[in-house]
Amino acid sequence: MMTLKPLGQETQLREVLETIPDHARRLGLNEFEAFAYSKSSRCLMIDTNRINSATVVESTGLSIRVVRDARAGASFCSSFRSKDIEKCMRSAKALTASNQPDLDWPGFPCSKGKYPEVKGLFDSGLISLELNGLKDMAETMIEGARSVAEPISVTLGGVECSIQSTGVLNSSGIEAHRRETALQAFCVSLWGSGSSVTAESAQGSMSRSTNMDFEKIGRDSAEIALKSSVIAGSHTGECDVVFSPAALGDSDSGLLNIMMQKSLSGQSVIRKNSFLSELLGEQIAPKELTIYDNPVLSGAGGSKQFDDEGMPTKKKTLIKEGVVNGFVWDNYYGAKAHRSSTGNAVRNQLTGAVSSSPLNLQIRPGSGMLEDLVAEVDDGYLVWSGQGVHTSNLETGDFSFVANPGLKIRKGQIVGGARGVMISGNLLELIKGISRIGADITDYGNNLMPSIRFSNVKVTTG
Amino acid sequence: MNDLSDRLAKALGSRLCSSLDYVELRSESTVHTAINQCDSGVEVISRRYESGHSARVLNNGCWGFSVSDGFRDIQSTIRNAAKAASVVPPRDGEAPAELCKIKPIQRHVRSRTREPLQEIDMDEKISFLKEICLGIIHSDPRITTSVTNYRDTSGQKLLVTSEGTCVVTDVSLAGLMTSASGRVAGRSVSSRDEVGTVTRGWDFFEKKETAKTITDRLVKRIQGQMNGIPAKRGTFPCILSPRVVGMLAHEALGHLAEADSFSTGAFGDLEGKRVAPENITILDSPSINDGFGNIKIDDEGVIARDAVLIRNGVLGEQMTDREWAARLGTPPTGNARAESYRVPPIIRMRNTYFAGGDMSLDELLEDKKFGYYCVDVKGGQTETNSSFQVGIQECYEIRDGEISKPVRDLAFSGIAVDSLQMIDGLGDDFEIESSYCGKLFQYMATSDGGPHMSLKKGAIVFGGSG
Repeated sequence: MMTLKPLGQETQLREVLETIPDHARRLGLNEFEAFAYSKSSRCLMIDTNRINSATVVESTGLSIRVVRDARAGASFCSSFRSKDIEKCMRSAKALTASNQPDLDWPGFPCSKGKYPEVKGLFDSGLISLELNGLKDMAETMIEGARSVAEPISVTLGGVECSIQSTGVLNSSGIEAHRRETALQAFCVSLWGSGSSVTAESAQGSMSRSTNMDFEKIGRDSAEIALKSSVIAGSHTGECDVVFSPAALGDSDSGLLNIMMQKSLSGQSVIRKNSFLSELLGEQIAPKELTIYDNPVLSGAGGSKQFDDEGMPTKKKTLIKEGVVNGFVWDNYYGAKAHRSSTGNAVRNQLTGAVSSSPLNLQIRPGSGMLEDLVAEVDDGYLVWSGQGVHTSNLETGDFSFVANPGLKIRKGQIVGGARGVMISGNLLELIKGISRIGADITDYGNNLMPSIRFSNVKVTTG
Repeated sequence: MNDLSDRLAKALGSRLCSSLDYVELRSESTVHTAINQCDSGVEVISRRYESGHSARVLNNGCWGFSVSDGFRDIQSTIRNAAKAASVVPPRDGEAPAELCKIKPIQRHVRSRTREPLQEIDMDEKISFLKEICLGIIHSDPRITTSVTNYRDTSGQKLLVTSEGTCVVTDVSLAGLMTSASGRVAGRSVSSRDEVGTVTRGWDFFEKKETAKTITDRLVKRIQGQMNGIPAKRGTFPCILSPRVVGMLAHEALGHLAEADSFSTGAFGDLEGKRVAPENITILDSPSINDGFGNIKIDDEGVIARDAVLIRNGVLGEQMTDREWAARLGTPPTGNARAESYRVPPIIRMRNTYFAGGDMSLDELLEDKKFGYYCVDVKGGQTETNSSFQVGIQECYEIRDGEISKPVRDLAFSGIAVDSLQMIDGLGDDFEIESSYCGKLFQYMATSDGGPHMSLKKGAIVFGGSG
């Protein structure tokens, strides 16, 4: 019955983009850029141990940038009808009159290089995945969680598959198209109810194919909830703390991901609001820490052949054996810094703003799994997830959040949940204390993160 | 919108719709403006035209939802939602989902703004943002960058249901986020400010949140960061300003009083019980002066009303949508809100606040030998177990009953069921502030507020670096 229907999507996108130069000509525009997407997705949501709703989404969008006499204007429309595209371009043109000339405007980028071959971004198995198939996946995830212990409840969860076509065209000769599939799942469990309820523990994963272990996602989420159900004592001080991959890499609450996305951006360097901007070439962490931006990694959630300006992507080493090695650039901020684009333009779909950001942060894996890192802690904590990480100061690197769930470790064993444990400090201080990096890499869609153990972390309890 | 409402109503008359228990169609036609100003230059100036529709179907007790951009094939969208509902399994051992009864309404909720935001001259908006950015930059040589992100939305949204409800709502939302960064003694500092209106249009910036008001407030805040001392770690007595009290109302209590979180959360076994001192009353209201979360009718067509979450210290009502009102057997509160037509309505707060007390700020301060006075927030988060975390960007030490030195960035946390019991004073003032709240990947305009509040040592933990 319900299958994803990609047929014709890419053709339509090509047809839409091919009309852009004609529209531009009619409006007397010489400098223009169009970014278009067409996305189909299917999603099942879980609420309190059962599938609660199903959703079907068909979405399209066209983002236009035009420049006249170094004055830029941007516009977006969600319709591909010719008259709407024309209106969108007219609007962008009109806005240029309100802008001032930007003397640093380098023109839209032109690509001399070939697009890299990035494997594993499209799986035909996902195209034929029906809602009933998603239902089986969601039910397997719920069963995985519920099998751990009777009082475990799956409070929230979801499984979504999507197919998206994306195209970029500009007046400097760029024309690029890609098609990608994605499967995402998350499961949030807790133990108990009322005043004895534990913190919610979430586990999730992202894949470009149907290859995902739903039972394990549910089980992992529930096991942390179960371990949190016994409250262990906690104390204020400095100690070893293990961060799970989710606590570091989750797209909304992963501490390292959120901090590094901002601080490794060329735009932040130009604006002087990156805490790494003056540390190029400096040793900021032990040699074990190497961070790449690797958007050409086969099958990864953040991988793509070209960025949102149509520039080819490539692998870059941003922190090399603990030393700040470089930043990522889009065309505009790269030109401001007298550098070339590194293929890292990211477009804000709401505003049309283009900025520079890592596309697929990848920590070079170390050795061992989360349990191995925990086993070496004599007296410390495991942060499964950070509550309030989004209130961190991304410009200074200061953070102060609650480990929730946070678990107490004694003599290499998790002995129970730690209630109300605050972790605070500065990211530069934290990463100096890296004592082991795991090999348990998880894909969060824009980064690949292992678990990491840090020494001398400031912990405060009530 | 009249043509569109006719088309949607006609679509509801189809044979498919008559075979379904409930169909709800929502659509939008809106124009969004975005301007990003950095120091003296405009970085982004853009317009966004959104148009599309969605269908939500309840059939045999199961929900299906479908979205399509544009207005081409409404029947196909309804068909997709019906198919989606057919995949959802029936609830084992539970009553199927149903909606509480409401009287269908036909209404046009009109905007009272003097002039649609999209018709305000773009140059006027840019000039306003530039005045703020340059005002901040020129106020202190240690400030290196100032950024303003302005957004507005104008247009209409439409709700048509198979029960006969038809609501057209004028949309007029403007929001401004301003930030400043600087360096002092080799240390980076930053602060931000956020304001918004859904009721006053551009007047809001001309008369209330003027360029000078915003500039002065943000400069004071970042100078506090520059001159501040590190906060101590641990638990101390403290006084929270109305803005921080609002965050507490929203994060520590509000989310747990949303009906879809209540039963699994820490308040689940405390219904009707005392959870706070007798002088504590907390409300979620759809209509207060300058409320950023003001609504007249929610996105399910329910006329919105106050929900009293805690009355005189006793845990009271839950905020509901129609499904949860039916489950609980209570009158709906009108808390079903959707960020846009692209997502289904879910239970969301509107304007959440502590009711005022009777003490002056001096009286709240007078018995505190050492503590913290938290003035402004930079976000927060709650969890089901009532753990809350709040980031603080303006704070002062309290020494011997007096407000003393500024304190740098910090955060505090607590367990709401414990902290509420430790409120030992409420101010006789009241303020409300605008904010955005995230839930299930939807961001919604809300307000939070209250009076000044005093908390005993042990109520909250400060995660400072000192």
